Formats: sequence, C-alpha cells, structure tokens
Amino acid sequence: MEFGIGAYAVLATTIFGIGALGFVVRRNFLVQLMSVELMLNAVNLLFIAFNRIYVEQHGGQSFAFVVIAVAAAEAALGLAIAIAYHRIHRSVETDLADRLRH
Amino acid sequence: MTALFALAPLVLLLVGGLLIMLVDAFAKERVEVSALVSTLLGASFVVAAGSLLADPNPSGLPAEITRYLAVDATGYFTDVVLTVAALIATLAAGSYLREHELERPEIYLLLLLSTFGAMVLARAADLIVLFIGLETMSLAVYGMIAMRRNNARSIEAATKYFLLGSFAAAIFLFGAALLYGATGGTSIAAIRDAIRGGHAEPALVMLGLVFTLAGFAFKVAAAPFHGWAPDAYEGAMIPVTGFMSVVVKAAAFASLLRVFTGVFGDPLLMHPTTGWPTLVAALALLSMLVGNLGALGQKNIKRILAFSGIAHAGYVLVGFASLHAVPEDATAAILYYFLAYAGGTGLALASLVAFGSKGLEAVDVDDLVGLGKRHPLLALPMAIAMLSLLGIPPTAGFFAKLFLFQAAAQAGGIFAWLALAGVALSVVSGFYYLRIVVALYASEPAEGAVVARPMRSGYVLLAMVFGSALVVKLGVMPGLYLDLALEAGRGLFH
Amino acid sequence: MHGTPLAIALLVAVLAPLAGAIVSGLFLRNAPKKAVSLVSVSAVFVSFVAAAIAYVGLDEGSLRFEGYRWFTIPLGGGQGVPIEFALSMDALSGMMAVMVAGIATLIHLFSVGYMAEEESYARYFAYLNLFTFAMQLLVLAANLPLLFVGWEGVGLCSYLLIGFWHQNLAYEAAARKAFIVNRVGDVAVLVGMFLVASLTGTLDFEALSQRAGVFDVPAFGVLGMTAATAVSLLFFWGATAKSAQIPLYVWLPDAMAGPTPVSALIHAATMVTSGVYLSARMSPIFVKSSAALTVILLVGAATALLAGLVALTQDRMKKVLAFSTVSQLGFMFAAVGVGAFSAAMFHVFTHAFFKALLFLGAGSVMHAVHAHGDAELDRLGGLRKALPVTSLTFLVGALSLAGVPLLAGFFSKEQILHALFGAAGNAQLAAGGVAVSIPSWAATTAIVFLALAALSTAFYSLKLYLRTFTGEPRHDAEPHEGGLEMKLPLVLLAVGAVLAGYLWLPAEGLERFAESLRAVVRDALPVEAHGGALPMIVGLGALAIGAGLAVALYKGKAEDPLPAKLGAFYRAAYQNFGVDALYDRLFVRPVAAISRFVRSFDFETIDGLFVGIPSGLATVGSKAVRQLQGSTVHSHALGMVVGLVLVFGYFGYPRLEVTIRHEGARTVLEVPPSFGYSYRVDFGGDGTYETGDFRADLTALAVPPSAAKKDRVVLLVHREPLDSEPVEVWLDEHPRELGERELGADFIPPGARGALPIMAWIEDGAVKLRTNLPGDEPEERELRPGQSHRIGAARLVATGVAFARVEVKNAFGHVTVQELEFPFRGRARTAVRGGSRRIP
Repeated sequence: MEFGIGAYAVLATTIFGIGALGFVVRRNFLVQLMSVELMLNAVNLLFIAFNRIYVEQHGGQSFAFVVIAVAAAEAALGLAIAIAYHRIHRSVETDLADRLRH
Repeated sequence: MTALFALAPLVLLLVGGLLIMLVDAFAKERVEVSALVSTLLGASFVVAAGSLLADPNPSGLPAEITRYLAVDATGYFTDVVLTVAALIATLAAGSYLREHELERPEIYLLLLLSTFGAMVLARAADLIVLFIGLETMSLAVYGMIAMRRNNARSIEAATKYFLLGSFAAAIFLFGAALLYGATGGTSIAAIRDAIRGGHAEPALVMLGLVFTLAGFAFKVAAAPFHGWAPDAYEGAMIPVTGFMSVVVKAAAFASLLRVFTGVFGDPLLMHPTTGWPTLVAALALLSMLVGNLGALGQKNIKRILAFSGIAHAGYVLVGFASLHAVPEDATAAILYYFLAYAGGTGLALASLVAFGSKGLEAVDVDDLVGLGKRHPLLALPMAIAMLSLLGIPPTAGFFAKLFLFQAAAQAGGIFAWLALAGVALSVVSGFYYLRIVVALYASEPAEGAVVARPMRSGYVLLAMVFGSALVVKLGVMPGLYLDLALEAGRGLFH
Repeated sequence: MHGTPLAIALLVAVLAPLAGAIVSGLFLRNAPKKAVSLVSVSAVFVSFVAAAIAYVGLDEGSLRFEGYRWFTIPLGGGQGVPIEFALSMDALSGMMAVMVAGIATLIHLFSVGYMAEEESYARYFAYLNLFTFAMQLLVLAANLPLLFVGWEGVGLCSYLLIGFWHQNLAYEAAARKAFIVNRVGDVAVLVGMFLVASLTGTLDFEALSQRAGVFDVPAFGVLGMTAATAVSLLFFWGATAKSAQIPLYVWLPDAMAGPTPVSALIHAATMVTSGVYLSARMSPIFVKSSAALTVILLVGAATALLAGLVALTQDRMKKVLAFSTVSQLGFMFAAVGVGAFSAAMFHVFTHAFFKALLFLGAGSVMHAVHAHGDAELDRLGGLRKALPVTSLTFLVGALSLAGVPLLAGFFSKEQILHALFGAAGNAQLAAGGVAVSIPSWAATTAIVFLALAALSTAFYSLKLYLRTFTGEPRHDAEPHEGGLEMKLPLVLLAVGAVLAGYLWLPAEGLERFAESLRAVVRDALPVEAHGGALPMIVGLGALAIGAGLAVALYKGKAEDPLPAKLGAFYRAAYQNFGVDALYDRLFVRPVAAISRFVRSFDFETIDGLFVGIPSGLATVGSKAVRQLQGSTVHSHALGMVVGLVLVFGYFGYPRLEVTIRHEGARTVLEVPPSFGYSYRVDFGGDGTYETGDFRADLTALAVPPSAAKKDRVVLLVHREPLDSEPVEVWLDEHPRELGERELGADFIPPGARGALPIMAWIEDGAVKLRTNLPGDEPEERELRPGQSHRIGAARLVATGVAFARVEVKNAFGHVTVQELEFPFRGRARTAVRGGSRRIP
C-alpha cells in the first residue's frame, strides 16, 4: 500500500502536536526533554517526506541529518543540566524552579 | 582563498578559539584565557570594521560559500555589533570571574564559540546554516548560564532557558520544514524565488511564516514570547546576562531581518494591512507595553534590564513593521539600533560588574545608592548607559530611536501611531532608568545599610571606557555610523 | 569648524560651564571648597563675559558658529534634513544668553555662602555648572535638535538638583514628578520637530523663518488642523511642561524641594522661561495660526489667575514664590497668545531679575533663621532690623513683582496689558501680511483674568514682605546676614529689578535693545500704546487694591487672618484646587495599576489586582490569569503557545479592505492584492458572481450599471471648490434638515440658522427637497437619480446606489464577506453586513 505525502504530513503534524502538548502539559524535566525530541523527530519526518516531492536534490534529507546531530548535542547538554537540577532540588519536577520571580 | 579573507572575522574566531583551547589544555602554566579571547574578539572586530569600510560587498566569491553564508555589508555590520558586545562581555567576565573566584577558562571559550555561532546566524543565507548557527550560539549560552553548578538560581535560569529554548527551536524547525515542503528549497534565495514565482503552496508558506516568526520572537524576547527572559537574565552571572541580552538578541534580529526581507520579502506578503507588517506592529506594541510596564516595579537591576530588553525588542520591531514602506531607511535604523543598544546595555552590565566586589555584589537598585557620590567617575558610565537607553540626546539611544520612529512615521497610517506609542512608552521608561541614576547620584544610603563596594580591576574598566566612548561617539557624531548602517542596509536589497 | 573670532565666543559661552562641571565634579571632589568655588564661579563668569562680548559685537543680524555636520534625518528616497552642530546668536538668543549667564554667575556666588556647610559641595556646583551649560546650549543652539539637547539637559540637571537633598522620599518623588512631566512635554516637541522637518525640510532657525511661508498653504491638514496650528500647539504643549502651564504646572511647586539658589536659577529665572523662548523662536510659525494663539492666550491667562489665587493662600515663602512664578509665566504666555512675543520676552527678562532676587532673599532669610527646606511665614516676622540688606532688597523685588511704577516689573506688565487691549480692540492683527484674528471675547476674558491675577500678585508680594520682615518676631533664632558673597548678588539683582525695565524705553541709545529683538521675533502687532490709558489704569488699579488689602490685613498682625476670612475657598486654593489629587487619581494610579497587572503576567502577585472590579468577575478572572501565569517553565511555555495561537489567528481569516474610486464617470471597486488571497464579487446582489469563481489576480473592477440597487438613491452635495469630494447624505423617508455639516459653513444665511430652511427625504426612489429660504417662496422639488439642483454655492445631485458583495478567500480557504452600498460617485458607505466563514 502506498501512502501520499499528505498522509506523512498529517502524521508528522500529529506527532509534533503530541510533543508540544507533552511539553506544555507535563512538568517533568526528562519528559519535557523527550517531548522536544519528539517534536524534532516530527520535523525530521516532515523533511524526509517532503523531499520525496523534490527528488532531484537532497535538501530535506540533509536538514534532517543536521537536526539529528544538533538534537544529540542538545540532549547531552540537557541531561547535564537535568543532573545539576536534580542535585539541587532532589527532583526533576520543573515546577520547583520558581525562585526567580518578583 | 578570497572567501577565507572575506570571512576573516568568523574564521579568526573559529581557528583562534580552537587554538586557545589546545594551548590551555597543553600549557604547563596557567594561561590568561580572558586576555587571549579578548584580543581575538578585538582582532575580529577590527577586521570586520576594516572590511566594512574598505570593501563591504566583495565580489567574485564562490557560490558554494555565498549560497550558505552571506558575505555583504550587512554581515560585516552585524559582525561589528556582535564582536563589540562580546568584547565588552568578555572583559567584564575577566574581572567578574576572578573577583568572585569563579575563574574557569571554559567560560571564555564558550563565549567565543557562542559569538561565532551568533555571527553565523546573522549571516546565514540558508535555513540549515541558520539552524546550526542558532544552536551553536544557544547551546554555548545554556552552558555558560549553568556554569555555576551549585547555584540554585543559575541552574533554575539554565533549566528554564534551555527547555524553552529547545521548544522554540523545534517550533522554528517545524516552520522551516513547512517552507521546504512549500518550495523545495532550504536557502533563503531559493525559497524567495519559489514564492515570487508563484510555485509555492500558499497555506504552507503562511504556516511556515507563523512558526518561524514564533521561533525568532522567542530568541529576541518579544512579548508574548518573553516569559523566559527576566528569569534567565536574573539567574545568569552578570557578564553572561550582558552577553545574552545583546549578542543573542542582536544575532536573532539580524537573522530575522534576512529571513523576513528575503523569504517573506514578497510585496504581497509585506502588504501593510493584510501581510505581516501589521502583525509585527502588534508584537512591537505588546513588547513595548509589557517591557516598559513590567520594568516599573522591579528592584533587581538585571531584571530591570531584562524588561528593558523586551521593550527595546519592541522598538526594533517598530522598524521591522516599517520595512514595507522604507526598506533601506528602516534597515539602517534597525542596524543602528543594534549598535546603540549593544553599547547601552553592555555598558550598563559592565558597570554593574565594576560596582561589586567579592561578597558585596551590586544586585538591586538599592545597592547602588550613593555610589555616584563616593565614586563619581566610576559611576558615570552607568548614568550614560541609562540616559542612552532612555533616549536622551546627545546619546546613542536618542538617535537610534529617532531613526526608527522616523521610519515608522514615514510608513504612515497605523505605523505612525505605533511610532507615537513608542515615544509615549519610552517616557514611561524614564521611571525605571532614572531610578538608577537617582540612586547613584542623588541618594544617601541609610545608616548601616550594606552597599556594593566597587572592585579594582583593569578588564572591566577597559570595557567601560570602550562602551562609554561608543555611546557618546554615536550620539555626538552619529553621521558616520548611520551612513555605514545605510550602506549595510543596502547590502540586503542590492 | 570655522567662524569669526567673535563666533568663537559663542563656543566659549557654551563650553566654559561644561568644563567647570567636569573639573569640579570629577576632579575636585576632595579639594578644598575654595578651589571648587573658584573654578565653578569663574567658569560661569567666563561664559557671561563671552556671551556679553558676542552680544555687544552683534550688530544687526546674527553671529554663527559652524561646527560640523551632526547627522542627517532620513526622509526616505535618499533625501534627508541635514543637521549641523552649530551655534548662533541674534538679538533674541543674545539677550537670553547674557541674562542666563549673568544671573547664573550671581547665583553661583550666592551659593558659595549659602551652601558653605554642605558636604557634597563640589557635586552641587558641578550640577549647577552643568545646568548653565545646558541652558546656554538651549539658548544658543542654531537648530531645533541642538536646542532639544539643551532642553533635555536642563530637565536632567533640574531633576538632579531637586533631589539634591535626599533626606526624605518626598524629594525624590518631586524630582521624578518634574522629570516625567517634562518628558510628557518632550514627546510633543519631538513630534512637532518631525512635522516641521517633513514640511519644510529644515530645522535650522534661520532657514525656518525664511521658509515659514510653507505654513500658509492650508493643504497640509493634520488631524483637521492646519499645519501651523498643529505645529504651534505641539510646541506649546512642550512649553506647558517646561514652563509650568495648565495642565502641566503641577511639578513646579514641588520642585522647590531643592536648595533655594537652585529654585532661583532654574525654577524661576531661566529654565522655566525656555518655553517662552521656544515660542518666540517659533514665532514665524505661531503667527500663522490664530487658533493656536487663542488657545495659548486662554491657557496663559487661566494659569496666571489660578496660580495667583493659589499663591495668595500659601504659608511658606518658597511655595508663594513658586506659584507666583507659575502665575507670571502665565502672563508671558498670554502675551505670546496675542502675538506680542517681544512683550513676553521683556517680561522674561525683568522677571528673571526680581524673581531671582526674591528667591535669594528667601534663601537669605532661611539661612538666617536656619530653616531647612522652606520657611513657614508663621515662624518669621520682624526680621527687618536683623537683616537690613535682605529686607531692603526683598522689598525692591516684591514691589517690582507687584508692578509698582518705575520698577522693572511695571514696564513689562504694562506692555503685556497694552498688547492684550490692542488685541481686544482690533480683532485683526497684521503679521507680515497674514491676518491673525484673536476672538475679542478671548482677549477680553484674558484681560479680566490678568487684572485679577495682577491684583493677587500685588497682594501676595506685599503679604510676603510684611509677614516676613515686619511685625513681632515669631521665631527664636538669632538671625544674622550672610557674608559679602551673599549680599552682593542681592544688591546687584535689586539694581536689575529697578533698572531692567528702562532698557525698553524708547530713549536715545537704548532703542536698539528692544528694536533688534523685534526684528527677530515676529510680533503680530506693533507694540505701541494700545487702548490709551486704560491698560495703565487697570494695572495701577489692581496694584492699589491688592497692595491696600495686604497692608490693611497684615500690618502688625501676628496671625494670618486670611484662612478665617476666605473659609472653604482658602482651603481649596491651599490644596491647589485639588489638581494634584485629581492627577493622582487620573494618571498615577491607573499607570500603577496597569504596571501591577502586566507584572502579574510574569509573577503570581495577583492579590489586590482587581481593585474596583465586581468581585465575581475578579474571582473568575484571577483564576484564569493564575492558570496562565507564574514563574515556572510550564507557565512560560503556555505563554508561548498562546502567542503562537495569536500569531496564527492573525493570518487565520483574511482581512477585507475595499476602496471605491472614481475615474471620470466610471466607478471602480478596488481590493488590495495579498499573498494567497483570491476575490469574487457579486454586483447588484442577484447571486451571480460577475468575476466568476475566486480569482487571485483581481485588484480593480469597474462597477457595472447592473450593480444599481432598485429604488435606492443618495444625495451628493458638491461644495466649493466643485472638484473636491462631494459630501454624501444618506436619507430615508423621514424628512431631515440639511445644515452646516452638509452644505458648508458659509451656506446658511445668518438669519436662517436653526429655522429649518431645507428639509430632505426619500420618496418613491427620488430625493425630495423642501426649501424655505428667507426672502424666497417656500418650494418643494423632486430629484430623480442623475438630476441636480443648485442652492447657493452648493450643487445637490441625486445619485443611484450600487450594491456589491465582495468575498475574499485566504490561503487556508477561509472567507471574509462584505456587502457594500455606495453611490456611483463617492466613497463606500460602511459595510452593511459582513462576516467570516469557512467554505468547505
């Protein structure tokens, strides 16, 4: 069975939406990090799917590779911050970080 | 080879940064990294300024370079702004870290690489490069904020900025993917041509605009995407706050300028009532309102400067909203504003560093009380910075606002009213900027109150002299710089 | 840089005080006080000498120091207004510069004694020097932007000096009030500057006075005003802030929180008069707008009266003098309001002497009785013996202020009254060929106000003297005079307060002074004796009554009988008629509330936010707000999502903007092209779309005759000139009167006003007219579409009405619909129906 670009676009948008919803609704550092990763993967899917329209060059696929690489770096840094956060709060609930306010 | 020379400001930072990393790793004795990094940034600044004056729009560069990185007057101008701001921040850090015993060479290297990322972002001619630049800059900043690992405020600031920044990056990327889907291109020129040629699916283009604009609005801290800024600015170390508030904001704005005059520069998309100018005008108004009103009741100076930064983002957006009517004047005004804002905010934060010493850091407005009476010369740069940010002539900030609002007034209609609102709201900003001047020069500390004691350190003094000279020079002789900004602006529309 | 040696003197006059400020502020902080005094007093004195040399060497015409090209205001298309860093001196600025530096020198000198015990001595003098620099820059600037630098600079220094003694919060509040009020005025000056630049292409005063002819063209309409009116009112708005006029005068009385010499220099003699100076500078534009002048006249006269009344009731020396200053500034603006700029400047000049003198006298008294901040009249009295010099000079100042003949204040006040009587007498004043007409009711009102103000001036100046220096002492200090450095300025200023008026006398050798000034400012009427002896009778009458009352009430009295006599009025006036409280309610509290509200978007401080809103709504609202905000990652992320939704929402539905244009006999419907938009149009409402399906390339469409709506008709009124846009009059079956709005102001015959001379309504698809003009037979007539009828200068045409239904679809398939009715000639009537929906 063959799926059209439209189907991929809908799927990617759905995953992106789930990721965004997760980021906004959940208050756990790690879950929020995973939500962002989900959003990035949705973007990758979209890039690769769209590349099927423009088969003569590989802009979309290259973009996806770059996103994957940067996401890895981002995750590494994110986990380091998460560890520092846990050492201070003994928890990864991001709601605990509300000292900075007026 | 010519390409390497043309991109010398960036190449210098990258190669030099890697060399310093190696030297620091293998040297037997302690290396003065702050001095090396400052020198490198200074060299990059000189090269960028020289290129801007001598050959701002080099020709004959290979397309493999220019397809990804713009080599034009605009690029050199943003290089100048970014290196100036980074230099002030580095010099301030050189004093701050030593005084507070936080000295770690990594911070300077992160500063350097972040500046490199910012310069790439400001010059990006392709969305892939733009994303790489954006993330290079941002990741380094997250790291700099989190550097004080045991400080709860720093980690909180890093957490907020990192999570929200990643979220914003994902939103931006989604927009980029939609634009790619609509046009099949990743470079600004290719997407622009596809939209002009009518080959792009309008719905995807509009969605792409919405998502990329949201991503940029986060980075420049425009309301309502500003929530992170006061928290992140307050939690970071002062020099890092200075870096973030100027370098990150200016680079994001520069990139926004390229994308919105390039990708979305189509006259139909820029239609004053149905296109994005009205939307940007709304963001500008909201930012000016939130920034100026939000700063009013604050005590913490970094927080005041954060809200002030939101307000200034609003002023700059006034210039963006006027791009459709007077593209060259508005671009010049925006670029000039970067320089003035970099001088003003950088100078304010450098002064804040200088006002404190170990255990007696200047944090709140109350900590500055009477400082101008005890150290009139040292306090002067802070007063100059406040007057410039407020926009009192003859300082840089006055002309920056004048040129921006002038552009908006020429655009007419709601944009003229926007300019008027900007002028009126900048009156409100007098309340909080002048509170600092009054604290410095017209107040006495209460009996027994703990006040900040200035440090003695050469680095930050150098930063203050440099910053003051810039702010005053831009005010007393703005002509040369405005001409340069005009020249740089034309680079975008040639 | 270039200029004649004399022009270099201008630069010296401006820069010497700046040098003084830098040296004493930055380098002499720990130096002995003598060194500070020497540096700062001589810096100002050098400025005075330089200004005086330049002024004396000024023969007819002006001096100019050319600096460098400062910047260029871009006007688009590569054009711009070049702004030079240039100084210039003519009779107007020369007089001001010499006066400013002269009085500043005396006040610096006085301060040496007055501030001798002050700890931050060097800082005080640095600020005072800095102020003199800014003021000289303001006065000697050759163009508006440079003047604005000085304008901001004096505001800033004033701000620093008001808050100089920062022992209590009220001082800081006063300082901030002053600065913010001034900024409110600055906005207007900036906007005015922009207007002038874009209209005339220059901001240089010399070029501006040559190009003022641009403002004769009424075509430059701004918000329904002529350009001259708009610009004049904007600059006047700026002046009301700096020169403390209604409604922005509230800051000046509070500004007296600063040291007394500061009040004398800044808040009486120099800075506050810069609004008058600006008006005189802009006189070539001001005289082109009778409307603006009338406003200025009334505001000035009302301020003079109001502040005069408040001054009557104040019980502290400096407060009386402060309100007196506001009142005297009102006199000056009243003169400006009848176009008597030279009379206004004359009063600026004399006022500077006697008001500085009175303030310094008050300072001397406070110094003597060790009163800090201000001296209460109830704790003074009987100081004449102990303070002979102060007492005598103060009396001279008070009499000069009251307008006793042959003293300076008398001459300038008389000239203002003469000018007003002149304006009331002949409503048409000639100004360089342009007629200025001040309504005579306005001039008469102003005369009454000013006469009353003059009366209260005489009263409170005498009261001030009597209650301070005569009667029994009501204090327990051992008063003594200050040193020579304090007495000398008093004596010199007293000499000025006596003699300054004679400079204006048309006597041999003196005439140049006034005449050269009149050559620079554009007086709307030649200042000769207007109204015969009447102005002098009014002036002297007010003086006699006021002074008589004061002497009768206060001679030898220990208590102030006024509160008991005036009762409620006294209390109201004492409280500044509640203006401060009103402003607090109107402006300060709302701003504070808004700022709290905005801050709550980032923080959870919502308690007490919804003050005044019904509590039910408050609960729901605050709950919603609480859900949205906070200081966590979560709340910020929500904010971003809301932002994203709003941005998306902006593009969600298309915006429809239809314009109806006329090309000869054709009526064309235009829609803006926009990205992803496509349009379709149905003319006549028959359900068929003339454009076919949605078309992306549609921008303009001729309206076909088939668009006409049956039996609908509209009346178009063409007025002189006939090629201007006609006025549309939408009628129904109910007869209505056609008045001034439809037919033009000059149409209605004077006798017929309000007598329903023309009625119009719709009947059977035609316009019916019934005219009942005086002198003519009543007449009824029918106009079918296309037919016209002429009444006086107006041509009335009945026109058919077209109907169009315009639909626009955006990239997302959302559609916005608008139904329009418009005459085949004329603008579109507002949409009758519209809305957005999604087309599947």
